Amino acid sequence: MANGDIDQQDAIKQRNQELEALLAACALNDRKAFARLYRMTSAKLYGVVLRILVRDEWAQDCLQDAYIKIWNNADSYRAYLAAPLTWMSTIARNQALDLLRKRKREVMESDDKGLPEQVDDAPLPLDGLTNSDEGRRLERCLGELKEQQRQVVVLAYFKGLTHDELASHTDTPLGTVKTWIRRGLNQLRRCLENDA
Amino acid sequence: MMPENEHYDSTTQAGEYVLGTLEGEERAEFERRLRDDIRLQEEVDAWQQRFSPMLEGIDPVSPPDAVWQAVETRLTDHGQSDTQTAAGASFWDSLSFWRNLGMVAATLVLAFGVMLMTQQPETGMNNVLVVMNDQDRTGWVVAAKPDHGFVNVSAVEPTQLPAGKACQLWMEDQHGNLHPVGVLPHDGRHEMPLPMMPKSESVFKVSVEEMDDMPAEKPRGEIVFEGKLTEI
Repeated sequence: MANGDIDQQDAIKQRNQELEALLAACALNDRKAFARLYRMTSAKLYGVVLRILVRDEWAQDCLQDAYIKIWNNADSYRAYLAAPLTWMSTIARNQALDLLRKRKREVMESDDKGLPEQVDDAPLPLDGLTNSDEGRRLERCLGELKEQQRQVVVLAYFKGLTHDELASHTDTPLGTVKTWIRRGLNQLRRCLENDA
Repeated sequence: MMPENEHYDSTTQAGEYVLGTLEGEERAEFERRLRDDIRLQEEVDAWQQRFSPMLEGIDPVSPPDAVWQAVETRLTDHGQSDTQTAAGASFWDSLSFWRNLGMVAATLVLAFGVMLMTQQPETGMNNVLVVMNDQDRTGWVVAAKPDHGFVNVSAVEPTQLPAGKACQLWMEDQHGNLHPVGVLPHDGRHEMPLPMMPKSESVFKVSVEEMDDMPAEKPRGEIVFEGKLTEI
């Protein structure tokens, strides 16, 4: 392994330790620690919610909600279950998908056709995967999926598209999309487990 | 449309849930099961982990300052209960999927403690143990220093015990024998002498005892927690 990699890993480890300590302090109601946590992580989390929601105003509302949730739940963070940024990013993603579902429901109930096209043409951000061992593994295993399987899995993950939406987006029968996803998930899991 | 031999089980369904493709009644039904089913929660955790590198690849974007100001205002105005009411009825709100191991095993070790450090820099307490309460939240924080004969025990959210019961802290020696340290306090911060010099990774346990008859030799009541000191 190159020295640069080792330096980078040290830096990541140090950052993770600091984030863990900050989350612990948040659990004890330390608002200064929370402010620092926000400064260190908000650009990352904003990137995540913006990727999913596309609209700035939604993403900003969502980012607020995500940090309130992080503050309220800091005491349930478990370092042995997930790295701090993974935990926080997952909260942000879930928050964004929840918001998206809520907006879709509102649009359906009001019969408004005004839901913005969530499937933009931005490239899906798989390039950064190679920054970590887990990312490289995931990239390799995604690469083993059939093109259509990979496409629906990645679209669903980033865009929160349901089976129906995926079917219409890819112009494929619903049953076929479901099969792609199930097979894709099974194959992905087996590949990641064999690789670990 | 699924072929007969297609592998579709809880693991795959948890994957669909994390991916976000489960919808409507299927999704609601899955969330109902998820609340009580620890194994299902673990499946969901595992999928979150498998996919999480996808989030690492996303480029950071600086949010406008107004977002932080709004977060601060909300914390100040509404205190801590804000999102419990504001965020809607999603399962994610409970976040119990990150907690499940705590429910399975009463033994938890956590590397916590910046708060204690910032409060009393003069003592140099650089080892901590977080004792979880019965809600799997931080009950007490024990701060120690290797080869220093005292610990500081701070009550954070102590377990509420029936009258006449108390949580007793024990320290384990290298032979696995337990020695009493003291009673975990209801509030405040207390300095307690240790029966022996602590090391990094010294093991502590907590038992529930009768308050007017605390054992001095070994725990009589149930051991409800154990954990190691962790250097921070």
